Amino acid sequence: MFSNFDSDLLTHVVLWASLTITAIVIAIVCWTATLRLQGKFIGVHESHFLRSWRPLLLETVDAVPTQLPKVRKRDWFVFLALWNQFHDSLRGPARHRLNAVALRLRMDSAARNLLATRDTENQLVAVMTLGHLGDQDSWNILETVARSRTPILSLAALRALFQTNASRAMAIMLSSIGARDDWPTGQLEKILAEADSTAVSEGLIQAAEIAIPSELPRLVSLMDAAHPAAATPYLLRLVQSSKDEEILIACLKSRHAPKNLDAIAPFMDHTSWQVRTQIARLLGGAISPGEEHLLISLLADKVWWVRYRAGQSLTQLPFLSQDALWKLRFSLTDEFAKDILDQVVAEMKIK
Amino acid sequence: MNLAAFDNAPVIASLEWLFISYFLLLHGGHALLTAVSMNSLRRRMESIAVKMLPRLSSGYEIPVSIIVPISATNRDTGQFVQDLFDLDYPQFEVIVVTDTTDTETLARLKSALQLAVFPEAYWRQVRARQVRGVYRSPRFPALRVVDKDYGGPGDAINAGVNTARYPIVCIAQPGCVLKRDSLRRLIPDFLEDATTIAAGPAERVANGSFIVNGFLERCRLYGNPLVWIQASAALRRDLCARHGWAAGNAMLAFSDRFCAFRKDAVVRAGGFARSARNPVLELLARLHRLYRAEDKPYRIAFLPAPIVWRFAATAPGAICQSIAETHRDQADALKSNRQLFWRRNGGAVGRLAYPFAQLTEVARPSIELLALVFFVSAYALDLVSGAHLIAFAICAAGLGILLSWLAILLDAFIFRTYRSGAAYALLFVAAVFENIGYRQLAAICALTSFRRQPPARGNESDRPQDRRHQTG
Repeated sequence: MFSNFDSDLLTHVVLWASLTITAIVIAIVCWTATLRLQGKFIGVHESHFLRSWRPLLLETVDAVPTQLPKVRKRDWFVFLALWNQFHDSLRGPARHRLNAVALRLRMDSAARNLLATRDTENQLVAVMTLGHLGDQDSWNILETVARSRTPILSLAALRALFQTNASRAMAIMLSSIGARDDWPTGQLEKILAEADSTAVSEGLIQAAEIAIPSELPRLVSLMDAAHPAAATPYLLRLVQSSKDEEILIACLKSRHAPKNLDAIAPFMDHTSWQVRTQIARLLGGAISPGEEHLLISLLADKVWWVRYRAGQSLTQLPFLSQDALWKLRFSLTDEFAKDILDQVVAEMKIK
Repeated sequence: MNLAAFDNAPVIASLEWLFISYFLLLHGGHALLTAVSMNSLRRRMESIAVKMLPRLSSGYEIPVSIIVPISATNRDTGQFVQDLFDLDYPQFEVIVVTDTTDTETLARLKSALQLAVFPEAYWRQVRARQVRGVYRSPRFPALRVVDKDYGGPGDAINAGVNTARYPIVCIAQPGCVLKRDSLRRLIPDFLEDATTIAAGPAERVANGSFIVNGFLERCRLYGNPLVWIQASAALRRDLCARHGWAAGNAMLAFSDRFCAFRKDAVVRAGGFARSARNPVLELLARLHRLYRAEDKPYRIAFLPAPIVWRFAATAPGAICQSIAETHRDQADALKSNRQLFWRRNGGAVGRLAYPFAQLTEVARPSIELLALVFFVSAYALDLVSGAHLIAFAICAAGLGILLSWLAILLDAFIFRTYRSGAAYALLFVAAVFENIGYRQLAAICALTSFRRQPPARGNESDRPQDRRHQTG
């Protein structure tokens, strides 16, 4: 039966194909098993290391310990991960003492070495450490990392630069922001919120003055981190002068958007529903008794979100009583306006 | 014509080559896909120190609308919905959509969740049948229940999309088992990559596991061998095929029990297909097709880690029905998006994943059974040598077992779904029977899927119920 096994092309093909597939499977299994074993050994060592270092860093909250064991090269990463965790959870002088511990252990130099490796996690922990230390010597390398294409690393490096020198970092951020769609605006706001608001306000407004229209909406959306005394007049000016819909939406969405009726009322009939939605929201804080009709007219808008925001603003007016709201509901003739007002009133009751 | 003189050897040889090549392509393809996915699997083996690093995304989680479509077959969902509110996620709402012709389903929900009629101004962004009413509960402020006319699963999800307020819609089918952090683990893909439009996980089998307060605490294997076999088959499907395709952004299926979509992408695509048997699978293929056609960057993410479980059927009849349904759903989703095949700028999904899925998923039951019947009968008639029969057995079953074992080992090394080594030993045994016996019977079940009557579905030509055109 098997006499022609070796000479048969089909069986040869099956044999070699099966061997190839088996080899791929064995290679995958070996590689995964090696990683697993390696991970297990590293895990045991890391647990031991963390058990001995956690109490020492906790001591640092009150005073820098006199005796500190040496951190070996293989433990740099895990030490710095723990150190950064402490840094993010502490405030004030305790942070300075943590920095003193890191400098005594020459972790600034260790972080620079880790930054030179090609491993993203090593680089991330290194960047965070250098930022917390405010290491001026690493400015150039941090700037290079901030301009790299890895979003998580470049954002961490940007934060480190802000921690080191907010004014200089602001210039770097503003010069790159147009090309960095991968930097989420929320993350940038978070970084800016940690920095000195005066430096942020000045930098943002100066950059916005000379920015090209396509970059302006993003810069405007970062204005939340600026000082209101500087941001609001600028946004008011922009609202009054800009014809660009995107810019207008960004301005009106801002926490520091102008709230005076004269500035926002002209946009009630804007062609963009997003602009009208923001106006409906802002009107709630801008109108006085007797001006409710402005919001009532938006209750009959053709877009749901405009109607909804107008309804919410109406129900939150401090001078409009429940009775007045009830009367208003029955005076409405538009079915959509009635529906949306019923909804927001019911939502208000639930809350 | 003298039939006796007809030389059938070339025909037999051609068929031998055809069937053997098919199995080599199937198993070789899966082995290569697993190899391709290894880099992303490696990243999941994080050390303790890496887990200590603060997440840059922390505090910026995207709010999520969880849609729970309820049909007449799963009426007792009150407890499931209540458990969803214990999910560990900073901001989410739950939208339950009752898609039934009866009033009993809503009545049960009303009493379980203390619902009251709510005057919601319903915003219709995608097509869905008439909404009879919206209900809210003072006990669960983030819950809304949409009671609507029957229109099928796609129609029910569409009604949920219309009600959703948040940018991500997550579909949670009643009966799926989650972990408390399931949502937290599903959503980060949308934050880490702005082009992500959908994300779905792998699915594991929950039978026998410890479930505390509605959430899975510890995964165990139940004592029924049919469950072990289904668990082994699920591991192979997810870790050897889907994850590999996901590495090349070419995945055409993930768990429809718990998955998430970017709402604007769903609305742009026109919502879930109301006539589709499995609207999630259909939309997944359609999103590939539409984004490819428009040449827009997009990503569909797959999470191989266990974050959603299902209860596998234990009775042979129910298993057969489940296999038939799964096969029919997949076939329908591919058929309704056939334009994806070999299109211009089709990429890996159009040129590789789509034809591979057609060949190895849709056509597989027919080809497997034909091959089996051919080799056994040809050997009995002395038309095929014993060596060739063994070669076929190696290709069809041997390599299949090898790949099932690979998937089990990957799960044991990387995800450790089951804590005990005994569970993995059982899975190893189950993998043998999965490839010898179960798969062949499953092929027969899958073929019966085409004979089953499709359920009544919503009519695609329903008129919009809003009187005004809505933009945005």
